[in-house]
Parts: sequence; C-alpha cells; structure tokens
Amino acid sequence: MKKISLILDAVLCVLSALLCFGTKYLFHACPPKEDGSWMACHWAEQTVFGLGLVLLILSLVMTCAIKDQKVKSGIALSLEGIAAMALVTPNYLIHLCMMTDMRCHAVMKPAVMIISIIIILCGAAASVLHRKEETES
Amino acid sequence: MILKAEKISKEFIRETKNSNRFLALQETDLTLEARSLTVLTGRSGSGKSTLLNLLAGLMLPTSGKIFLDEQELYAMPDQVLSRFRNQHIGVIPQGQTALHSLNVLENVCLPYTLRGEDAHQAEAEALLEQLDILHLKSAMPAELSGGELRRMAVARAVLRKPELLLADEPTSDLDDENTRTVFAFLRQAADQGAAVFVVTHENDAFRYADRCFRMDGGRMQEQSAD
Amino acid sequence: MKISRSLPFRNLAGKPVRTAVLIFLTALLSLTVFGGTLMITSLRTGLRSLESRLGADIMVVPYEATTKSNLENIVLQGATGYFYMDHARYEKILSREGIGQVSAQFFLASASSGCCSLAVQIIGFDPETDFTITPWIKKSYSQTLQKYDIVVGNDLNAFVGDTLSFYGTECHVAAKLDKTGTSFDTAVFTNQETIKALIQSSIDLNMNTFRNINPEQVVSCVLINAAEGYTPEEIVNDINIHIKKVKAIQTKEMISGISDSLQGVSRIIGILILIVWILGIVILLLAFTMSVSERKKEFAVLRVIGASRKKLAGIVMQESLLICLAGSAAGILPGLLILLPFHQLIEEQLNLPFLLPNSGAILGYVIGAILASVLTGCTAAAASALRISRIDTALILRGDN
Repeated sequence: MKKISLILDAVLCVLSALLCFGTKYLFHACPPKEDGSWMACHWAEQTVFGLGLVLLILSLVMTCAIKDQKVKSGIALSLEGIAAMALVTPNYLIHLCMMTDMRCHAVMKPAVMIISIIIILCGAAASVLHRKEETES
Repeated sequence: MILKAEKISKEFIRETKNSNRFLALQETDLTLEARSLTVLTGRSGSGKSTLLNLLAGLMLPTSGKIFLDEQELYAMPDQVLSRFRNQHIGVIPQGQTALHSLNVLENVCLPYTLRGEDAHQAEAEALLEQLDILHLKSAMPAELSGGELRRMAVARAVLRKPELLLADEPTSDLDDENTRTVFAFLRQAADQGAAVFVVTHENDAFRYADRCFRMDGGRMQEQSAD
Repeated sequence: MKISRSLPFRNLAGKPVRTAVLIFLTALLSLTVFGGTLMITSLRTGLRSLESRLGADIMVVPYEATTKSNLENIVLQGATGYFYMDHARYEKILSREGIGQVSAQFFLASASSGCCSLAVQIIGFDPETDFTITPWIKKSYSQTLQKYDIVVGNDLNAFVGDTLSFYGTECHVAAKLDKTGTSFDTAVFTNQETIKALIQSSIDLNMNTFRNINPEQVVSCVLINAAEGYTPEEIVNDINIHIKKVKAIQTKEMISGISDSLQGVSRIIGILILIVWILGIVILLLAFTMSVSERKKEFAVLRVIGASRKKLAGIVMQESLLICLAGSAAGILPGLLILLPFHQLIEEQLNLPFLLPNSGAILGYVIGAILASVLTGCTAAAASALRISRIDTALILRGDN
C-alpha cells in the first residue's frame, strides 16, 4: 500500500511538471502572428503554465516535505481542483483560436485535457490511499 | 473403505535387451483395509511408485482392476474419477509439490478451494500446528526448506480426511525427528480410519506398520511386520 | 470465489514480469488493430464525405485559377483564395447541351480578422439553383438564410448567435455544420446576396486583389451535373473546346489523387497490423507453451489433488483470458486517448480527409478489438491447454527424483 501511494505521489509530480513545462515548450499553443503579437490561445497557455507550476510545487511538497498522511491526503485533494481548472482553461475559460485545426486546438487542448484528467484520477486515488494509511497507522 | 487391487500389472514401452516392453509391475493382488498402515519398501526402480500411482487412479494399469469398496476406479470417466480422488484419496507425491504462486496455507487448502469450496482454514491451521510449520503459513514455498515443503504436502493430503492415503517417500528430505513426526502422523490417520499406504526407504517405518511388503523387480512380497 | 483469489489470477500475479510482458504484448495487438481500423475507417469516411460535399460532376473555373492550381488548394487542402469570371460565361455554359443541374458559386477569403492570424474561406451560393451545399446545410439549419447570415464549418471556433466581422461587415452565425473531415470544415457559407456585399466591402477597403470587378457581374465557379444521357466527359470536353478562358474539371479526377494516397496509407496500416499480429501470435504461442512447460509439475500436483483434465485446460485458458482482457484494456484506452482528442492533429499531419465514425461505430471497434485479441490469445493458449490436459501425471511426478 505504502509503495503504491509513493508511486502515485511521484507520478503526480511528473504529470504536474509535464503540464507545466510541456504546455510551455512541447505542446504549446499557436506561435505569434507575423507582426509578433499573440493570439488569445497564448494567454490560455500562460494560465495553464501557471496552474501547472502550482501543481508541481504542491505535489513536490506533498511527496518530499510532508510526513502527515492527513495533510498529504488534503494536498492530493487540492491537486484535483487545480487540475480541474487546468482542464477547463483552454477554450472554456479562455477562448482559443478561430479554427479548430490550429495548433492550440489540435495539440495543446487535447494534451492539457488528457494530462489534467490523469492528474485528477491519480489525485483522487492518492487522496484515498493517504487517508487509508492514516487510519491504518 | 477397502481398496482391492486384482491382478494388476503395468508394462511400459521402453527399449530393453530383448524387447521394447518393460514390465514395471508383475501381476499383483493387494488389499488395503481401513485403520491399517501398509508399508512398501524396495530398491529404486523396483516398481513401488508405479504401484502407488496405479492405486491413486493416476495411471491406467495394463491389466487388472482396482476397486474402492464397490467402485471400480478406472471405469469412471475422468471428471468423476478426479472428483472421487479429490474427496476420497489423499496423495503425498514424491519431490517438491508446492504451487509457487500460493502461500503455504493456500497450498494446504487447495483440495477444497480447487473445487470452489470453502477453504476450511481452521482445520488446515490445526494440521500445520501438528506438523510444526504453523508459523510459516503465510510464507511462499520458495522461502521454505525441503523438509518444510514435504510436511506441507502431508498436511495438504490429509486435509479432506481421505479414506485412502497414499504416500510416496514422505520422509525422504526429513531429519530423524521430523521423520518420526510424520510417521506418527500417518499412523494417527490410520487409527482414525484411513487405509494408509506408504512407499519408503526408511527402516523406521516398520515400527508403525500393520503390514509390510517388499518390491523387487516388479514383484511384491509380504514380509513379517517386525 | 473472488477472481483475485482464483488460481489463474494468483499464477499470473506470482510471475509479475512475465505477466506484464504478455499484457504489454496483447495491448500492442489490440492497439494496432483498434487504432489501425479506426484510422482506415476515418480516412474512408473522410473521402466519402468529401465526395458527397463536392456533390457535382463538373466544376468550371476561370482558366487562371487552374494554372495556379488554386481550385484544388481551396477545395481539397483548405487553402484560402478567390478568383472571378464574368457572369456572361455562366450564361454561355447554361446554353451548352447536356447540362443538368447547374449553379454558380462565389469565393472570398477573409483578411486576418481581429482574433486570428489565419484567413477564412468564404463560399457563397445561389439558394435558388444550389444543389451541393443546401442539402448539407439543411441537416443543421432548416430555415432560409437571410442577408448577413452565415453558416460556419465545424472546425471554426464560433457558435450559433456569435457575430463575426469580415471586412468591417458584421455577420450573424445562423448555424454550425456537422463535421465533414474535409477542408470545408474551416469554411464559412453564405448566400449570394451576402457574399456579394462582402466582396464589395473588400473592394471598398482596397483589400481585394481584383480591383475592377463588379460583384453583381461575376461568379467564381460553376458546378454542373450532367443531364441524363450525357457523360461528364462529354460535357467537360464540350465546355473546354467551346468556351474561352474557362477550364472545366471533373471532380472525380480531383479526388483521384486523394483516394490514391488513401489507398497507400491504408495498405501501410494493413501491413503493419499484419506484421504485429503475426509476431504477436508467435510470441504468445511461445510464451504460453513455455509457461505451461515450466509448470508441468504444478499441473501434475493439481491433478493429484483432484483436478480433472478439463479443469487443467480451464486454468490455462483462464490465464490467457485474463491476460487478453487486461491487455486489450491497456491497449485500447491509450488508443482512444490518442486518436479521439488528437484527431485534428492527425488530420493535419496526414493532409487527407479524416472523419471519425460516430461513437456507436467506435464502440463497435472497441468491442471488435477486444474480441480479436481475446480470440488470438485463446487460440495461442489452446495448444498449451490441450497439451496440459493430456499430461501424464505419474511420469512427471516420477521425473523429479
């Protein structure tokens, strides 16, 4: 049980890092226009980057610094909420570009959605597991 | 229960000097009665295990019939014979016979769980206690010594309180003290009503036996039990 | 009895590495068959959708449009562009023999509008004669389009009720079309009246490369269906010979390039599926055979304890069934997670019409892929199961000492 929750914590760290830096550098939104100005999707990308950074810091703190299982469980729960925000950021909270075959729709949005959903699922599992360890010990 | 073997023999197809037939067991009659412990000794390759496998319903005899009470063993179809063996015959085979994916207690409970029945854990634990390996009940077979594994196999064979108990070299890996434990255990099973048949090299075995046989070149002869 | 406590499950759990490798392998099998068939079907649906969207036997365009291969870019690749010819040529076409249904269309490309750097292709049609776009719009919008009403393709991030501005003219989104998997998904459709006004606005703003045209007197292309008794070839030749400065093209020929590359892609995918499956079956066969061989003694022991021959075979089959079910889940899930959200990216990379089938059909493929991998796994295990059911218990037990 302990091993599984440790693995989940590590997975959450990796996914958060992926959401944070991946959105910025790998599956980023559309490039700037020829005149150098940004389109709306860029601000969605920035927001996801920020949310990802928060997720990364929280998951690292949860994994490395916190010993109390109850606190770990709570942090895992908060990760879920933040990931849910990241999930709805592209196109729902912040509008993306005009055509859905553009990069922000075709690449960034699905990638962010998939990673966010996995974070939500892992966060839920981690939260439950940490609660269990609390009651067991 | 009474086991009656009538004129059973077993031939194998194998290259020998004169023919390609090898007579492992010559025509033999044998009766095993409830509440008795029968010991069979003999050199390696003399046909002891062959006889035991025939009695267990695991090997079709070349000739002859085997009856358990009124039931003819080899007249039953495989599924019926398998269920019959599960319920009425306990076998302790040669060598290491643990299932490696199950722990000791689960291995012992197999005769029940294999058929989807309730595991009877308490009885299994009592047997392990008697055989002095209860502390290993959650261990995996790979962690056990040869002697411990053998005692596990003994517990497994007697869990369903079979009317016929067949043991093939049950003490080959055991030290003197454990050998005595196992034989006392088999004796106890006989006293409680089972027909017990033991193939062994152990001279000690005679002390526990009601009848003794010696196998030599596929021919079985009774010896006096002292 | 719970599955997690059953013997087949415990056997698999007892050999985690081997089990993981086998699950990975079956996952690969189901992923290739699921992903592969979904890809091929999506491409075929896309092509069919494109065919029905084109909807006419023949397109007639001004000659300069073909030299720049403008037309195919606009229709097939989703590039934006526009060209015009005199309305008189349309009249001339009407007078030729063998013409069945006929309708003119008007093209315009929007300038980079406020939100986005990409221009949008605007296609105008004549509601009175149109036979290609109207039937398709009818599926999403049953009313008649008013002036400044537009219908947007599915890939446009605009919704019913939104207002889009082209060359300073506000247009109202009346409907959004279903996905077609073709370049039409990024286009905007409107009636003759509206597009003429928009063309005029672009000229007024000095943003149209055709400076001296009168929107009322031009068309961009003419769509024709051959009348009964005439073949499209005859009409194409007739128009190309008798009407100057225009080019008639058979739409079938335009698509032939696409259907060629589609066949190529389908073949590659098919070969890939075949290779993975042959390899997979061989490896599974070996793996099951080895795994049963090394446990011969355990099966003999089970037999001693009272397992029938059928039961032994059942244990082997159940092990393979568990592996296949776990494997196909592990293969299909990522397949769904990749193909569904990223279909837009795949469409773009392939540069072919790509239309995912509906969710019912996808569910069908999921079930099909699970069945296929279960069937393969069970076939591979059947040989081992048969062998183990014929096990000579006595011989194996003797072999130990």
